[in-house]
Amino acid sequence: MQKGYQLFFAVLAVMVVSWLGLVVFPQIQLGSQSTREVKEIGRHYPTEPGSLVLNGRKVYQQAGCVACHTQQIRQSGYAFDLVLNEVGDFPEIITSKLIEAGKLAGIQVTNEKAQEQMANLPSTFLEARSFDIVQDVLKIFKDSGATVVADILPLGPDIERGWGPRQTVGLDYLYHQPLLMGQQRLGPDLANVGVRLNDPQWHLKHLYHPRSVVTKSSMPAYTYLFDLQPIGEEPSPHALALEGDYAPEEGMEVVPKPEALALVDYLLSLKIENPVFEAPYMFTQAEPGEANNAKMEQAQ
Amino acid sequence: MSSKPKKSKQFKKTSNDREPGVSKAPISVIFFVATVLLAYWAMMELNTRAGGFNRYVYGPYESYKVVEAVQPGSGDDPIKRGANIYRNVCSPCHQASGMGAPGQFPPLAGSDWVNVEGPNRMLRIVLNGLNGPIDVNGETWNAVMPGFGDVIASDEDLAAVISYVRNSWTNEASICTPEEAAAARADSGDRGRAWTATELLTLPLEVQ
Amino acid sequence: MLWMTMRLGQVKLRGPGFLFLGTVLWNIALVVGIVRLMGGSQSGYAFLSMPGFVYTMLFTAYALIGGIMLLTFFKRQDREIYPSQWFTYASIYWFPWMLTAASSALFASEPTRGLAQAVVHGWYASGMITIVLGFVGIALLQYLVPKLARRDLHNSNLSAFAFWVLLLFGGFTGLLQAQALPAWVGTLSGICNAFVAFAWIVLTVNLWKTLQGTDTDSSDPFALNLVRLAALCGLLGSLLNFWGSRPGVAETLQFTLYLQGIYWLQLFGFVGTLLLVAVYHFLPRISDRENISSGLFGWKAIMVLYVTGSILVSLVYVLGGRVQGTTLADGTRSFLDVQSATMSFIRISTIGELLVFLAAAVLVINLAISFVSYLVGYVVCCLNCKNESAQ
Repeated sequence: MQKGYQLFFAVLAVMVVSWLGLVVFPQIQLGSQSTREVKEIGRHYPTEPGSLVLNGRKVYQQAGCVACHTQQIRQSGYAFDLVLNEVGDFPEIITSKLIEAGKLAGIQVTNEKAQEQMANLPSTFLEARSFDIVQDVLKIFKDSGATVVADILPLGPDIERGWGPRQTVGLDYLYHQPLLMGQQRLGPDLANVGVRLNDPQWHLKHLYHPRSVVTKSSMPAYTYLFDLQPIGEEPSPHALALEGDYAPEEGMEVVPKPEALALVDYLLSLKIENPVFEAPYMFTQAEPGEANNAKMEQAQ
Repeated sequence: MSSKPKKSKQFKKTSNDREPGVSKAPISVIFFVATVLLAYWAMMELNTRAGGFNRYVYGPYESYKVVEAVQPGSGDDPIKRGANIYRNVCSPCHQASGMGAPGQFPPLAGSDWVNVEGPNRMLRIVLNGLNGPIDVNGETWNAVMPGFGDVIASDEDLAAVISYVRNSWTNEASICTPEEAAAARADSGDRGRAWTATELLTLPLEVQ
Repeated sequence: MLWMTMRLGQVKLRGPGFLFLGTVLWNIALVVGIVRLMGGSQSGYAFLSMPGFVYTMLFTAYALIGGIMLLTFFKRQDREIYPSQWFTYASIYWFPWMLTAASSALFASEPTRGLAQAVVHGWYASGMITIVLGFVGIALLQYLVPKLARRDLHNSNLSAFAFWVLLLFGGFTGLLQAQALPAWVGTLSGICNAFVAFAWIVLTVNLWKTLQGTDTDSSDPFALNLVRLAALCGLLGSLLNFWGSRPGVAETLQFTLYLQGIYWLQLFGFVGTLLLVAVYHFLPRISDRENISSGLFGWKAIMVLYVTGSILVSLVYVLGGRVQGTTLADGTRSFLDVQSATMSFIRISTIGELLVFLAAAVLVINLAISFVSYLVGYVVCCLNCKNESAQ
């Protein structure tokens, strides 16, 4: 390569190859995705965010939250629970098949155990087994009259920690413009924070002074999103109910600015609530009001 | 390469270091071997862990087939459920082979009443029963079939057994959805009596 | 880079005025960008976080600078192209093309949707580190090592191999860090990491063979040692990047300080150090001075502080990332445990960052002193002249 123009064209060729492979091809694959009907929830997913959420996203971007928080849940594996739903017409056969399935999975199933499982339907007779074992067990029960299903369990530290029910996939980020997926976890993951921590008051207090709600937090306080103002005739409806060291002095109240409210709206809109084709899990309709508060403590 | 740069005048003692050149010392064989091994390793990686470059294959799932296979409910598909119901409800007369009994019960396998576009007529027969002569594949059958609308009470079950029959043995027809089953059941809700073949032939093939 | 072009091509600089203008514009654009960043207009993408209009200015400035370099290159007298120049020119061509492609994909009025943004951003970021900045560093490596050792480069074919491999695969390293992408992205990224690491090994072996037996022969052993250290940083960076993308390891090391550690190694330990050494080497040849240690502590001090600081920060981050990662990977431990595990590493790394800051401070002081002494000298000279003319 001794001529200047040879170098130029050679580098240009490599650049085009690189661009085609790593910009154009992903654009064709991922950039052209569109919303999809998800049968578990009976509507298209994801839904387009409203303007308050979009404002909140701008605040998130400007506050630099992406430097410490990710918005992606990972999954490191999958396993299955085998569930017996119906025994069918030939229970004697089912007993022996349950014992056989147990042997395949490496556990000892006694006759009594099998009877007990058949009595309390639906019963999970094998837990967290790999795909191959599940295929073999389903073969055992084929044509036996019993209904056996394999419930999929996503596995991984993020899911164990209660950050979400499944991993996030391309479809989830369809309306994320710009994409604020993040690369550092100096703070917990936020992909599902709208479900996990769905109390706006908690978020407002956390933004105002993180250590008022999480004593060992190292997140900086975003006091600039709030106004410290004297109480008028009546306390403002949005004023924060702070206690202890973080409460303002007598006669003053902490009121969130519109940016803070928008940001909280955005955070509460971050939800991963239904399975998708790429990341299945056993979907159950959530009880209204049952916000995973138990997981809140663990997730912090 | 000349050692004195042409351009400037003020270089003092640091100017007699010459510009570097290149030599062509021999390259060891290890380099070539390593390159080949690396290329081979790369091919293996792409084969096993790239998921076939499929846009739906994420994370721990190895390939598109696996993703399809692990979808919940794929072990519970209506055809399997329909098979159970058929075995319990229908096979005493129509047999497990779907061939029926000559002179008594018409076949379902290959039947021209099954292999039509819509499941409407089948649904009515199962719900309310059939009386009188019926032509199946050119042969006339004269028997009584009771209605099973109460026995197969759920729409999912009804749709499942219809789908099973329409897709088993040599039959290749569309499946029946629970919505269609529900609509048919609602439509013929208070009929009470069995159908005759002539009445059925006036019904449309698709469920309205 | 300009220096290398001129020296290796044996040619005089063309259009210095444009070069100056370009440099000034570039610096203005950077300052504007940083001010806007502090005011909160960041875009949320690492390495591309300045608001969009800054890139137009940067692009223009770069066009000026790069144009001058290319012009000088084309007018060279010595027509043989040395390996450093391959790397230099690839870097010059690559940067504006990549910047345009990425900006139009990410900042245009109809940007690409969803996850494709992550892929484009990852392509840009790794291209910046491995190709645009990395090539500057490698070009300097391949120039300074033979020059300071007073020998020829061991084998230019190995350099050529490394060049093509890095160019082809360097655009896609490090994307495993974003796990919510289809499986092929992560695997391809891992493969590119492997190839890049291999190219680095080849480069280092090439340089090492060049250096064999030169301990007494070098014209500037201090600079040569720093260059060796920088090369090791670069090599280590690429090896750690490869290690961090292995399937069992990646789940542990993602989203931790490990990635930051690799950035520090590659950007500060490798490219930054080499740039400082380059200035140390070139500046005396431009100015009339013997050496540029005329300031308070001298350039050597700056380099030592900088290198120590960078290496400290990067090693602490790499280790800390490992600890953070293993704690993160244990799903039964709450996030607060992870955080407290990370904090101690971040505290130690602050020392390293302080050293780098000191290096920068010394540099500023040096420049201020030089400038002031220059002014003083000028004033004194004028006074003398006046005195003389008055007499």
